[in-house]
Amino acid sequence: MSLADLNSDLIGAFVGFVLTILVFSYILGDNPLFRLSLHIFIGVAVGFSAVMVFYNVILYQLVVPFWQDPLGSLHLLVPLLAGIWLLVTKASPRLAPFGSPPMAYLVGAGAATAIGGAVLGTVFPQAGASATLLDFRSAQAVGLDAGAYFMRGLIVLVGTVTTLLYFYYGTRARQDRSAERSRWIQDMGQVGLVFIAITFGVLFAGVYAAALTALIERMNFLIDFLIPLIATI
Amino acid sequence: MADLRCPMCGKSNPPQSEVCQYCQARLKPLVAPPSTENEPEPSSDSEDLFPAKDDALPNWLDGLRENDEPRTESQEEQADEDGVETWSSEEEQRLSSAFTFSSEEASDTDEDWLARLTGDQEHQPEDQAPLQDEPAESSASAAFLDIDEVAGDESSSEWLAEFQTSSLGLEETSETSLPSDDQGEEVVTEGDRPHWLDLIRSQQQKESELTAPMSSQDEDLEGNQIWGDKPVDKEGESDWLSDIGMEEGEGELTIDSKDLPDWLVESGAFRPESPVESEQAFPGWLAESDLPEDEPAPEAGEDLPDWIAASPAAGSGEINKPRQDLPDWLSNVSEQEVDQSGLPEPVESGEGEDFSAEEEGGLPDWLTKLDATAGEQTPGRGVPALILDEDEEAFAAPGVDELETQTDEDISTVPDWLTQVAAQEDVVEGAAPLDGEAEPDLATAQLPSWLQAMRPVESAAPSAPAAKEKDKVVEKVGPLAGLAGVLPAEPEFVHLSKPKSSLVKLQVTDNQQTHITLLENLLAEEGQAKPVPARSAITSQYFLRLLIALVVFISVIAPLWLNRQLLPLPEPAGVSTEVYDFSQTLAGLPSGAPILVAFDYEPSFSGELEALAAATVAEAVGRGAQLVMISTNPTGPLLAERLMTTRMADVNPGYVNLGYIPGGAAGLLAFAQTPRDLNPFDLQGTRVWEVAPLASVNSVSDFALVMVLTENPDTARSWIEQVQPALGAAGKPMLMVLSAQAEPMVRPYYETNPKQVNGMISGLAGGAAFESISGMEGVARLYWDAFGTGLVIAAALMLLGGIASLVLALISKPDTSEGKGAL
Amino acid sequence: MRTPISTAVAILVGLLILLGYFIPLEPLLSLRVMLLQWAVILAAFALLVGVVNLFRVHWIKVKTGQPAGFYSFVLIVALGLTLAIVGYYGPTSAPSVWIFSYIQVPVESSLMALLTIVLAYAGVRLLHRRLNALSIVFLLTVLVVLLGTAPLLFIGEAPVLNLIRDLIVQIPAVAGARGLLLGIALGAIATGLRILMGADRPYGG
Repeated sequence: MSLADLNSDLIGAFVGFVLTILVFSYILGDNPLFRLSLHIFIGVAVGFSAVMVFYNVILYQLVVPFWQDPLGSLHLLVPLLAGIWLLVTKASPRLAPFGSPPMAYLVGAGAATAIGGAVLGTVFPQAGASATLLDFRSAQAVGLDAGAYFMRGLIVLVGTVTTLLYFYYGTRARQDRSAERSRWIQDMGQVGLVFIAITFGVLFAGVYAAALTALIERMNFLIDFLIPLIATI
Repeated sequence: MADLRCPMCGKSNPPQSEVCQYCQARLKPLVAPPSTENEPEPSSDSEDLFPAKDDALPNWLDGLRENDEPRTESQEEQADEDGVETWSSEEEQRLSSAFTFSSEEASDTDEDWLARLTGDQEHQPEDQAPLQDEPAESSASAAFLDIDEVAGDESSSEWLAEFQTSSLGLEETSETSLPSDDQGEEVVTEGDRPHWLDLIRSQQQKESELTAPMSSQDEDLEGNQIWGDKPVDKEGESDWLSDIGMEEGEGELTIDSKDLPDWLVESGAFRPESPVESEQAFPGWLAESDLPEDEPAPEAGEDLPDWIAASPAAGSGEINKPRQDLPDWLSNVSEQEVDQSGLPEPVESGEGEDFSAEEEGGLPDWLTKLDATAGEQTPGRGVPALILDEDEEAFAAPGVDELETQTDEDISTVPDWLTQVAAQEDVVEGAAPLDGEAEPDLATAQLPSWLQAMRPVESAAPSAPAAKEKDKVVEKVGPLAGLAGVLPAEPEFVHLSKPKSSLVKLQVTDNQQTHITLLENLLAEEGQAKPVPARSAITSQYFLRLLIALVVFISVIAPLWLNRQLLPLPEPAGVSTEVYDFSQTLAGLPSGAPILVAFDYEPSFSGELEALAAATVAEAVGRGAQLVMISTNPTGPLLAERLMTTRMADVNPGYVNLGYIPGGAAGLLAFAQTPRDLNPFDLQGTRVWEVAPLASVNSVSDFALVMVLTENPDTARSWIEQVQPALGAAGKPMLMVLSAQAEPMVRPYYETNPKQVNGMISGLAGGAAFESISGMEGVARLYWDAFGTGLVIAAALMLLGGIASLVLALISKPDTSEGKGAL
Repeated sequence: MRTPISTAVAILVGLLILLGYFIPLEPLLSLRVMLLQWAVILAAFALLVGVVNLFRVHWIKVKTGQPAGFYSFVLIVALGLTLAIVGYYGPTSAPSVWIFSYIQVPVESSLMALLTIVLAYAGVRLLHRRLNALSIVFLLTVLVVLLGTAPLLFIGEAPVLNLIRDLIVQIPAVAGARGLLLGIALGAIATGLRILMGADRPYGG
């Protein structure tokens, strides 16, 4: 590692240290230093995104192919022109309504992709998995006895169904009565709410664990920067 | 008992009925005529022409009624009350039909009675010879003036024909030319009543059996012909006025000249060959005229009405022979020409005729066109019943050219008798007479009851008297300009004016007003910005937050600072199955196999995932795998570069960084199918698909495995939904390196059968477990003590806080009525 | 120009891509690939639209002299410098990695670290804000998972605690998560179908 690299690392560490402290100053309350660090971060992040898009898509997927093989890349004129059209129209509030077709293209493609993925990637496999929860033949593969596997499957099945029922709000039209869910659906929904609460508890714990890990990493960074500095001093 | 014939529709009705069964018109007059001896009491609803006898009627008119044949009792009574020789029932009906043609288009003006005089063509007796040679549709018939017997030249008869056709501004047509001066003759009758009228009466009696039902054509002035077709069923049968309009030598009337007025005789329309019955049904209008019984016929040029005096024919001295028993207008008509061509043609109302445009009180057009039609005897033309003004050009029937030449000057004044009749109407209806328009010569007379009965009874009879003549609005536009009391040509809404604003005061109670005031105050306060109370920067919660931060920082910094590594890593035997599967999958990689590593996590999670990535990537590199990096996050390629240049610098493995795939799930689907087309170059611009390790890769299924590093459950789901099917079809595994927060949402994919996620490690605990299995010491080992300590401290803090909250809730529950969240 | 064309474009493109999932015809698959590639390129331009819009907003703030104009100026300067340096040297060059490693990563990681204090504070105040059965279940789950993730200080591994933690994570949490995933998938299907039928037009048509 050269001196330049050391210097750059030292300077970078110092910059990182300063920015970390500025962000941690939020513990004391919102302050201008915290906002300053935040705006610097946003600018840098947006700049990185713009450059990455330019390099990865515009340059390597449009410009270079046209440059190297114009005839073979004629089909790329359509997205290029549509993209320019989108950029020009959406950049101006007055012209924004005219940029609907390219946005509609994106929305249509995204919707179709979402439908296909949801059906083939989630609904079918998860429904199949729920259907085989009580399959005793899978117990050995899991390494559980039949009884334990059955209980486990039953709980998971009940939890899955009750969780879905909690979000079910379909009612039957009744004369002279307000639209309400049937009693048994409401009761089952309350059971599903317990499973949801448990799931959210696990999620909360996972988020805290992730945040704690980030804190540990930052603390470790600060320590690694300060200790040599203190030792030097 | 004879049936009652409806004056409106002409249909027969039972004798006791008051209202017509078909058209709901009154069969019996409503207004009772002035009581006189032997006068039949008029029916208030009747539209009979002769409802009652009026004292003002001259004797000659009254006598006409006395010679009627026996009629119905009601008619008899009416006739007696009238004291006038009434027509036969059929004749009366015919006459009434003529007068009651419509109540829509024409107001009860002075000209109404004139129009009614003409009656209906269909009521003409069939045996009456037509006055003209043309078929019935072109001729108007005189309903009551059956003066076939009346001798007279053609010119004399024309004026009477014009009587018929004149409908007070109706569609009269044509040749309402008056008898020429040369042809006008007057018939002298004995006594008070002209003999010619007696002749008419007798003729009407002959027609009593032949009267056709009244048609409604006469009544509808807007859409139908006024006169309808002339019912000429038999040859020689025509109206007496038809005979008048005949050419000389044709269809001459056989009427004794002695019985005819001179003017009629002189007109040549009537041949005094056959006597005319002295007792003829006389129209009521004539009976009720204000002419004195003994009124001598005015000398020619003496006291002539203006409208007659203005006529050029008047100066010719044609009508000079005085008649004591003739009204002035009759005596002066002799000099007027009568179109002997026949009765006026019926005017099609479809030609835009507006019969309400007839000037009220003005001279009938037929009278004012005497000079215009002098000498004109167009063959086949009916007797002009109406001399049209220039403005009334639209009213004219085809061929009625002479009527169109009438100027306004000829009808500039209102004849006296018309004004007096209008005055009588006003009196009967409770209105004041036409004071302003009454001629000084004639006294204002009341409308006789029978005439009153003739007025069309409206469905909603006005109870209030009509407005006085002076109060009526004078029409200013249209053909009726100058007339008062007519229906407006322009609807009132045309004259736009600002409507009168009326203040409507809402009745508000005191309670409502209080609520209104309260609501107004509330709304007013909404617009006013309330001052925000100053909040103290330092509160108890602030200190609590600082305390918690201090505790957490200490729990993390202390282990890091001490670096004792007190807490052991998970035992390899006790690791979870997903970590074990992950490790086993990596261990099964063939050497040199390309693996796709997706760096789809945010830089904020770099502290957690870099620790995991470093371990897993290092393990993969240790297995000889060729790394191909991709990301659906713009910062993913940079994270990959950072990892490879910092954590993996010592290893320095070869890798390919394909960069960034925009579009989310759509981009993943496209990459899964054609990765070469989507990312043909790496971030350095090198064609990596032509060299190893990507030379043999054409789709995502050609990779040995796909390892996704993400903290977002949705990103993981997208990879599983879009890419894993292709991998699963090829039997290639997919591994997940997840943040602790994503693990609960990805685990269901791990627990499917077949597994969609073949292995996963989540969080620092999973990384530690993986490092334990792999036998390496990585970042997880470094962070493990701080991680464990931090988790315990956090749990302890939360537990203490929960317990404190419970205790506080239990303590405060008996004191307050509202608990803080019931169990 | 807008409503009928946009809707037709969305429906046509969506149907062609969706059919490729179920009808494995080669021409359809080729067309589908081309359409997806076009979508990727358009998505890149959409990201650039966001960048341009961000720049315009903050530029207006600087130009009009708003109170937060200084911060907007700092943002614009940082954006410009990043575009210049990273664009010139390349996204994977040393300067780019330096900027990324010592500016963006520290700030983002620090923000994530702050979440620890916030979550701990929220956990402490949980029952004080809402005391009911579900809140207690939630807190107990958090405590069990936190304590069962890592060994206890001065105690080490707690097998019972680890077992309970595993059971909670692998059974009821999976059940709830599976129900949530199915609900999310069904919602995505319904939303996607509404878009493909033209009932929903979030693209401004």
